[in-house]
Amino acid sequence: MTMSLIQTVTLPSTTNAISFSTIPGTYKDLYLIFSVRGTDAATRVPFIMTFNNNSSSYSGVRGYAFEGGLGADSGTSYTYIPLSSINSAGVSANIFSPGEVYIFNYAANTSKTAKSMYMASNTSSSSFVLGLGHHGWANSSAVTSIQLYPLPGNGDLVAGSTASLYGIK
Amino acid sequence: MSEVLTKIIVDCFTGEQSIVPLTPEEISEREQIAISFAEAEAARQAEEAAKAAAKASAEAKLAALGLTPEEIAALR
Repeated sequence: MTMSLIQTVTLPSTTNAISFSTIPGTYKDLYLIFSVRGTDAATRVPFIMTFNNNSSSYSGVRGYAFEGGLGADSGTSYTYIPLSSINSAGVSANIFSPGEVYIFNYAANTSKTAKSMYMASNTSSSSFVLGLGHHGWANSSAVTSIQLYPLPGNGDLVAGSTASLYGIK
Repeated sequence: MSEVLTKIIVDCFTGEQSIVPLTPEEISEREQIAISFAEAEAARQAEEAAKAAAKASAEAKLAALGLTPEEIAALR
């Protein structure tokens, strides 16, 4: 297995979304890694992903640990991939949230699956969430673009948020 | 809402990066996503409330049968 950097981006200013476009179809899988933080006043906000600007036929299951215990959610008709929770303005300054997504067979003409890991936390155990996810997209189109943004209505991404997309062969 | 929502487009072919406003279609799509999230969240909360109500009802019935709070807790 070899991993090649396709593109990386760091936001120069507050921006709502990151969009990787014109993704080459020459790799077997994709690996996306990010470190982001939201502008909303909340402690953390949902962070979502879509493929090809498409808003249908997503599914998935997530398990997570957080300050309140353990949790899980799942669904079969999402309009987006509920990727993770990310730190927002309610936690100490300059603490970003890391996460990563492995997207299998993104260029194939079959349904797509992806696995993710993420974490959001403050400086103490009073506020944290870390989780794992399995995601599906029942669409036979090759993934040629990826969109990342906070759930609508939950603010933007701060300057300094970064994401990198790798191709796996 | 007067804020202009923007996105940064990273062209993986050319490497060019540009910040542009969201299109009307993207804004509409986000509004639909927000609505579907709110609906799903409401359904989840209703399900949790129903489970909590069923649990409370079951515990009340067990208490009526004579079980102590400790015995009910031992069943959980």
